[in-house]
Amino acid sequence: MAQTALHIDWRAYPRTAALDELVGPGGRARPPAGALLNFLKRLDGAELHNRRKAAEQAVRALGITFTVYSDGANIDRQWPFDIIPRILRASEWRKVEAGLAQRLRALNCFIDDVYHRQHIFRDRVIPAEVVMAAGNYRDACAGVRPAHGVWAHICGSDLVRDSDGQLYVLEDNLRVPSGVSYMIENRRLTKRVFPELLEAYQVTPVGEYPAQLFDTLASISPRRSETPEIVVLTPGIYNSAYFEHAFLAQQMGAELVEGGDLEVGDDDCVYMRTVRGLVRVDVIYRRVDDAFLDPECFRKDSLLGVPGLMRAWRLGKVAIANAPGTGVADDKVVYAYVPDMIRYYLSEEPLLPNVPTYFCHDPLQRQHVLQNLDKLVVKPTNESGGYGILIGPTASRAARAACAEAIRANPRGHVAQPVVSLSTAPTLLGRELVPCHVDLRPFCLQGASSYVTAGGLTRVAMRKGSLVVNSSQGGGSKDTWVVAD
Amino acid sequence: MLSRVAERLYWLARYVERAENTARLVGVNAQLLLDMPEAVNALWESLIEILGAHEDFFAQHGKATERSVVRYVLADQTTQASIASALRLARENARTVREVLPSEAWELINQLQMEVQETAEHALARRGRQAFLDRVVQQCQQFSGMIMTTMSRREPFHFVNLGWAVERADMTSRILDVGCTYAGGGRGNHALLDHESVLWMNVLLSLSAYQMYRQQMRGRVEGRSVVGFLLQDTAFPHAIACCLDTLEATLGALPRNGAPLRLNRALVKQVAGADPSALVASGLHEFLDQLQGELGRLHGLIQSTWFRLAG
Repeated sequence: MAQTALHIDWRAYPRTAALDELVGPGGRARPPAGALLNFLKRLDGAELHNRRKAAEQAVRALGITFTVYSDGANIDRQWPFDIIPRILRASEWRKVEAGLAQRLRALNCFIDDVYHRQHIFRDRVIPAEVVMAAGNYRDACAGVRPAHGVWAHICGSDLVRDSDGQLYVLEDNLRVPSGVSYMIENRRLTKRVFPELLEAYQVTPVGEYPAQLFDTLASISPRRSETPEIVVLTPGIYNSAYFEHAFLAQQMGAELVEGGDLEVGDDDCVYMRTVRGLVRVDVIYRRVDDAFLDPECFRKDSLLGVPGLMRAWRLGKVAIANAPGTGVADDKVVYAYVPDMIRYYLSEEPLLPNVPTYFCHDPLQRQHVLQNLDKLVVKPTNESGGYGILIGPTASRAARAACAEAIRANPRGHVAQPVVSLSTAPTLLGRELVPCHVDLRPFCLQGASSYVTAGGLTRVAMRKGSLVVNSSQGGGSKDTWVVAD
Repeated sequence: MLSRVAERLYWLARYVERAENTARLVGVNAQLLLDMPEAVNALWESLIEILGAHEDFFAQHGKATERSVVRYVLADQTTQASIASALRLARENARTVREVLPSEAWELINQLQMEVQETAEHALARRGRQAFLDRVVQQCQQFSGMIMTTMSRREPFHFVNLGWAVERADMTSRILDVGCTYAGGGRGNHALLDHESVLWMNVLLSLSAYQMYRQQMRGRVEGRSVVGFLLQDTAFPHAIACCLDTLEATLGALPRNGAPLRLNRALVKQVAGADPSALVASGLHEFLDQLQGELGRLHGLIQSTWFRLAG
């Protein structure tokens, strides 16, 4: 609807096949969103525009950026932020929280099992070859016992809401999930842009995450100390998430280190080089992929890593979060077995459903996928960031043919899922309020205890009709509110 | 603090200081040649000498002309000696230590680098050159001002301060060294000898020292008093004795400072004990050469003490 009109008419808000998070049939607000929609309705078009301008200025002033690699150069881009928040009911969120914590506990049991006795394979719950063929299993991790039996300390799971109103888990990111800093910064932006709204709602705060992360990391320190030395290991300024690495280090009061700042001593302990001399490090929150952690163990050509780090970790001299080898559970095929893991390890029923997944390595399922490419989403099993995804219904004939070719060449490398009609939320595009597709990435921590963020990072596809929410591909984000209902 | 962060702050300060000093030096030289057109090429050549770029420059250029030197010193991205390179390196160092710098200081360096990259080519012609150089000097000074007023006097600041002081002492010794050319210390150039006091004045101007010199030293501008002032005055920030005092205090505030502090104390003594009149008569170049060597050693000790820890 045109913003030149003096107010927003929610009855004219476009309806799509997808469910909208805030606006129900006939333009009526879904329960917790009433006050928000009324408030927006009372702002005239010019005022809404001013608020957006204020948000853009704040993004610049606060220096909230992400880095994009294109044309051979790295560019810091302003963080794309939509000012209209997404609202979740606290009663629903309590269930999601429990479901995410349950999921992470099961995943940690699974990783620990895979690197020890592998009961789950012997009991034929998951075929061993499915896990071993994925290439994420690290021999170097076998037999290691990290504190509390926890390997994945930080997990960012992607949730989507289908038209049936149910939130589904789309994938679990267990390697180096990013986005949590933007969740916190988005709230700071809303405080600047809509202070009166935050006063009216009782929104659960999100700012405690860095403190929770610190506690989680401190709980896995090999030395019993009041003040463990925690560092954030970054690949450096050219990494797309460098902003977040610096942000979390600063918020936790931890040093932000690069591989070259660390060394492993003759005593197999890890030290950082400071102007006061070598200082022993207890916990490394690494934002570097496994393959680059230790050139002695993994990629020989890695300049990002620390020679001897794996030795130090295996001997229990230093804790690494997430632990090396955790990627064994971050795979789109393994994902499909998480509900079975929950039943197997925890003897509980899964609280959060998965999206049904077809395995292309299974001949029958592969045939079904190849015959229904125009109705399915096909994903490479070992990619992140939304790269290489085919969205069947909107893909060109040529793209579908290329995808079929890729599936036949490497069946194990692909899975397919029915198209989930990602829910929408009102988003300001130009001068229009448009229903844009959103997902949700909450962050779950596990150390001595568990923690789940209140809400998470809502990513929004800021092109009309687009389903791709990744910031590297034109996606934006929204502040996410958990409010009492 | 991390050694890497300390090292990058130190270099950030050195490069910003170098850009500022180089811009001032070029500006003063350009003014001077209007007074003495016959000495033009000798002046431009001495500028290359000061920047320690003799070999690099003459590998690419046959003659030191205004055109070739100005392009080389302002805009040439392939040489370490240019203002454009100094600011690019300053920005690169700043970018990796953003979290410890005041954010306005980072933004300023970032913008200045982009501005210089865009405008340096246009500043090569005389028209517009002075405005460009003034802008570089002012922005570098604004950067230093931000650091001085908004950074806590803790380790990160101390390493910035070390960078400033080492670079400044080094530049002053280089500029003094061309004074040897005028003082007839064996490297006399007849085109320049006719203008000795103008040239000593030029040395002072190149370091923004003329006014302070006038307030402090009575009498005419001549070699021994200019050398005395720039070597031994403990109050003027670009004078070597003053830089060494800053180093003394800053080194004193850092941990494990034994070796660099000992060398600095020896340097303080050596500079205070020098006799400017005798030096101007003979041996100034040798004295400065040795001093520069010692400053290089001090830099090496700063590096080995705090930046490059042996396992």
